[in-house]
Amino acid sequence: MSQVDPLARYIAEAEPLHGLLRRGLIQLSGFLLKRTTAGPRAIVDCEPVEAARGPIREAAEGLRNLRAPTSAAHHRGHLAAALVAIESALAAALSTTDPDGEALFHFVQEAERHLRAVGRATPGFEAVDLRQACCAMQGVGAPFEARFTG
Amino acid sequence: MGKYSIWVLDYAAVNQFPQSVMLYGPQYVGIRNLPYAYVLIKGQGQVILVDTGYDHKEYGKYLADLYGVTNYHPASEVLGECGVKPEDVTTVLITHAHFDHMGGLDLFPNAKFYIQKREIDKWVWALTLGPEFRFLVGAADPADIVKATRLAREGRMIVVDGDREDVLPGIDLHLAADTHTYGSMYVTVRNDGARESADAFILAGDLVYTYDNLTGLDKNDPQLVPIGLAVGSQSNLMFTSADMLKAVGGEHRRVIPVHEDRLKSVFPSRATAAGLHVVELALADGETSLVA
Repeated sequence: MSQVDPLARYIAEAEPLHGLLRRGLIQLSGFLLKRTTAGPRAIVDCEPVEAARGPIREAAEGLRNLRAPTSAAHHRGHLAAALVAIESALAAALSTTDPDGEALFHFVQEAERHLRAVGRATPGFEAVDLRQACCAMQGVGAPFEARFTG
Repeated sequence: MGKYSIWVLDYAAVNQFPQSVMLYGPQYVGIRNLPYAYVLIKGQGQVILVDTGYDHKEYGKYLADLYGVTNYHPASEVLGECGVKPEDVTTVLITHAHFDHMGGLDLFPNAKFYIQKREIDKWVWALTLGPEFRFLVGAADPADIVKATRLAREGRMIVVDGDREDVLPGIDLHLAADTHTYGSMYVTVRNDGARESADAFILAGDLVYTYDNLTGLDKNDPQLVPIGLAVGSQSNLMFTSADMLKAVGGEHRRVIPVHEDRLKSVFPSRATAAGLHVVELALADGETSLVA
């Protein structure tokens, strides 16, 4: 019976959680950007904030169950710190006591810093999804059959 | 001679880029070299960039490995060929929010940035869709959004809602909605300052990738051929191309596709020691040529 390398298993389990955190962060930072550029009296719809809730909740559940070998403890620490910052950013986005977005901006920056640290440490955990990069999208996909099988 | 000097400066390239992305329609027709470039405009006391390039230190290796982006050089080096430092840049006009046009927001510490409101609004909207819609977002870097927010909070990110004449003297911004991106923008430099300019250049961002988008491939039967990559529509791209051509009196070479490898043979140019190119579109009164 083959044994799965604990580090390889950790990486495989952590990667989708990183993706969920990234999605949550992009939506919250997008909301912040729109709010900032819209000006103080403008009404900005909260659709990005609502869209962020699901990925953040899923990431939190996944991270609770994510076991890291000692060699990946630091990596997991960054993911956990990113989650805390993103949850705080979500709370700030929903709060009425952060009218100028000061707290939201702080937590978004904090989360982005942690996710970027994860990306630097691990190939495949890049903060930016360049698979759709417009002037570089000639990447070769998986074989057709492989996309429809497990 | 005009009010502004204008140079196109390449800073990297994809050596094997599919022609089918550059020209909508024909498939399996080969590859071309695709330079990554931005435009430097100097004059009237201003140092202006059209687009910023991307942030190589964060994901340059990833791009190089995945897509064959080669020969990247930083803005300090590329602008240095023109005697300009990044901190000299006073204004950046962002044509659209893709990584290779907007990924260097923090490289120009003293600049004010202009972008279309629609580009930001629709970009944020597209980000709220699920990952299965990621095509609509292009390559959104959370860091770019955070950087843009920081600039907006500092009053250095100016959001333009539609067309704006004379954003700087003789320089106009135009919205090209629902084309390559939702809020793409092109820039007109009226280099004689006249409203009906006889010396205009249009910096087209990615609304055209190549002169072939303006002429077609058959010189005896010219046509507009849109680029192969749009979140909006090919129709909108074609009508925008027609507008741009009309504004330069039908003189194709004055609509500048920054990804066009043949720019260097259409205008005076020189290769740098790094294998990049300085393409000189225009020289302001009193300016010395950088390519002679």
